[in-house]
Amino acid sequence: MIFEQTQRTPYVELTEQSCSIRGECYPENISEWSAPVLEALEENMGISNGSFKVVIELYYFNSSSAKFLFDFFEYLEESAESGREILIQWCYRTEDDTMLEAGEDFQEDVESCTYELVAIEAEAAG
Amino acid sequence: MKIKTRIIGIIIVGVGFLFLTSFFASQEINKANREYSAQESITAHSSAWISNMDIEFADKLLIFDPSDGTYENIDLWDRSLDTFGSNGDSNPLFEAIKSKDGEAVSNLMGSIFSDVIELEQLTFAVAYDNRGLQLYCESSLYVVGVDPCAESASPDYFLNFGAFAKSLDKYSSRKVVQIKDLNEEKPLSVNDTLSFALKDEAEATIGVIVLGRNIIDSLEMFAENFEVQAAIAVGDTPLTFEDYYDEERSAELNELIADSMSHSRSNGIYQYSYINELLGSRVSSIPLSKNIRASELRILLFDDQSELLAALKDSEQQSQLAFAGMAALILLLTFFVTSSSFNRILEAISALEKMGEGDLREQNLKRGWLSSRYDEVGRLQKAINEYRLHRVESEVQRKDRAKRRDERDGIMFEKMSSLSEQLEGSARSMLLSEIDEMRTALSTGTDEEKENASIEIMSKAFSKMSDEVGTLIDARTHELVVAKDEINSSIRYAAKLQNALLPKTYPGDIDINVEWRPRDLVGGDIYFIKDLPDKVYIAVVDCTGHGVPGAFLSIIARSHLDKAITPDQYQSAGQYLSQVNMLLKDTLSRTDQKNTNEEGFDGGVCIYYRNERKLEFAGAKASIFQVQTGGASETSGDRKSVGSTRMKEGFEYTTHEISDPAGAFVMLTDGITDVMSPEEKPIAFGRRRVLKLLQQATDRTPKYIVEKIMNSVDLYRGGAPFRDDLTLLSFSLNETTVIEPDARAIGDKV
Repeated sequence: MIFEQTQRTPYVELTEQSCSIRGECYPENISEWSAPVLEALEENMGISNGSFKVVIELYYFNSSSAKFLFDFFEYLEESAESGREILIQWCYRTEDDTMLEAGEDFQEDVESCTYELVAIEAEAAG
Repeated sequence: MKIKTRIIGIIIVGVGFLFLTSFFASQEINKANREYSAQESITAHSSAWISNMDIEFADKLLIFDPSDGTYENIDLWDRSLDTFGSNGDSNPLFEAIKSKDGEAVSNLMGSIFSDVIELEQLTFAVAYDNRGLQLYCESSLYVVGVDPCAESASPDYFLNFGAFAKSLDKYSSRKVVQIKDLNEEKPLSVNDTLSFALKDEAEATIGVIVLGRNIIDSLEMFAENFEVQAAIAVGDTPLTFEDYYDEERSAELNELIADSMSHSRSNGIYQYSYINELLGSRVSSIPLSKNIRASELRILLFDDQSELLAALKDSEQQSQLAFAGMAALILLLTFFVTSSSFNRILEAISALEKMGEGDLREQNLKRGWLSSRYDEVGRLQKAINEYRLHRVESEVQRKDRAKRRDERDGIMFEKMSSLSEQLEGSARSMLLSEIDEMRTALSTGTDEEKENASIEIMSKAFSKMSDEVGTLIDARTHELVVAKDEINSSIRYAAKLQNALLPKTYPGDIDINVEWRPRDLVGGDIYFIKDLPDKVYIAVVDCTGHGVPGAFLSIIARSHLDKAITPDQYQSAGQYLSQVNMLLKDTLSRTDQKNTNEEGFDGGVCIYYRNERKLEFAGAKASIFQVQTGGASETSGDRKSVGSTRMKEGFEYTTHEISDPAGAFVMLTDGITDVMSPEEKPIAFGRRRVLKLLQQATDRTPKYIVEKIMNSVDLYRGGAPFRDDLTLLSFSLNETTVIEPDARAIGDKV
């Protein structure tokens, strides 16, 4: 399942084994956008019980989107606590300390999932 | 003329032609048949007669021939043989003839022929000397016609006996010989004869023998065998059996003979066969012998054909009757079929005519005699009925349409009338007169005209109404514009109010420079400065949301920032921020309700204790930067937002003490750090970039720092708009501290 990217929301692709989020996230009303995404996440994760991989590559999110990310990680944590093998990769450009810090912030809350901070090379203009 | 009459006329004429054609054809065939049968008849009769004659000749005459006769008979005529058995080695007959001894000749000849003649094998036998002197003559007792041995008998060869005798010089001869009665008492006799000469040692003719058979006998037999009447014609003279027997000819025979003679005369032919229908007989004429011309001597045969003719006539009549019957039947059938078909067509036409006049009742289209539902007319009738149903349906639709149109027009008139009531003066009377015109147009004319009139009314009514609606829309638009203006002016006023809540004067011992820029007219960012005698509170806060909701929250936040202050009591920056957090949570009733929204704020607070010249900092997801001679540093606060639900019970914000508050300090909201580069995958401006800028700062006055950062931020974002409200506050503490006794919070007064 795919949620297309918009100016204010990221691209989201969901399968029964993975979830990837890429782009910026600062919608006017976060719950309007996040509710169907979280619903789809639950649905896809409910299909099987195998390992699940989450790749997040965000460039910007506003404070209300942070709330969404908390909810998102919380749901993953719950699943992991009940025995699901989950890997979260938080990708950030080496120059982007804001996103690195955000990734570090979320890492503090994550215990049951495997959490990786992955530095990626920024493109030339970065 | 009607088509039906024409068809019947054509059939009558056609049948007539057919009849004539067949009649003439049959005539021709009959003619040909007759010619053929005439030829057949001639051939059959001739061959039968001639062969009959030939057989008779061979049986009865030729047996006496000196060269072709029986051996016994041949010897009779041998000069050197004495077949009579009288005196040795010579033939006494020759002697007798030579010597013209009639008695002797008669005795000898009689010994040969008397019995034969009596038996009627021969009719007569005559012996002459070389000059025609009759030496012997014997004839049958039952001779008919002239007796050949009578005094008055004159055989035709007597006319030139020399030539006759000479003709027998080499061969014997077969001849038809006519014998006349010089007294003309008895009729001519006609005979088949064998003649030959008797010669002496010198081959000279000494006598002539003539043996004959009366043909009438043969003819009688022939006639009997073939069941015909027969006669002989000598030239133009007919001879009948009655003539020979002295009887009266029957009238019928006379008629037949006369007919035959006249046929021969008028056509100049002597060999023919034809049928005289009047007399009911086939009339034939064939030559009597191969050696004689028919013009001289021929046989007339009359074959009774009356039965055959009657049968023929009968069959002809029957065939004509059958023809007439067939013709009548065909005519009758045609008449019936065309009548019934054309009557049906006429009915169909009249049904169509009625339909044309608007009578759409079902017409009773009957099926006629000898017709079917699937023939042309049946299909025509079916098509007419379908057409009728279609017409009925469209009539129903038309009425329905007309009804709906009337209703629609009624509504139109009603609306237009009510519209006219809202008008005044000439506009009103104009509209009323238009309505009247339209009513007239609608009440007369054909459906189509009414339809057109109705459409026109509709368009007029619509244009009137659209004018009205246009006016209404203009009015509404105006209202909206007014409303928007009102809202905008409200917001502008709100902005004024929010602006008024910001500090306008700063403590004298602190140099402060601020860049406050809500993204919209109002925003969630706010900064707060409270100047107390012994301490100064400085806070930079970013409430969640922006615009009006952010502004509301900022006012609540400001009120709590004010309320949490303990003017007479020491309170660390961490305690202070924790207190604000508690107050805010109480206000927003976080603990009670399952409110999922994260209202609250990020931000940092500083407390400057004048007496101790001490600066304390506490931050909720915020940092404070210090710019000194040696460079710049960042002190980060806790990573918990104020008002957050994700906070353990009894959480306290950390107090960071800055022991040497020299240089300039910078506090900012994420409106600065979250300024994004304009690429597709943008990178936020970030705190490190801020830190780097501060490290490179040559001038450490708050004014300079704020300008430098804002310039850099503007450069960084390119043309991209701000995404959030932003606040950038820089301050530096002056060396000398002035203590004012009646200190109060700066910015409290509006």
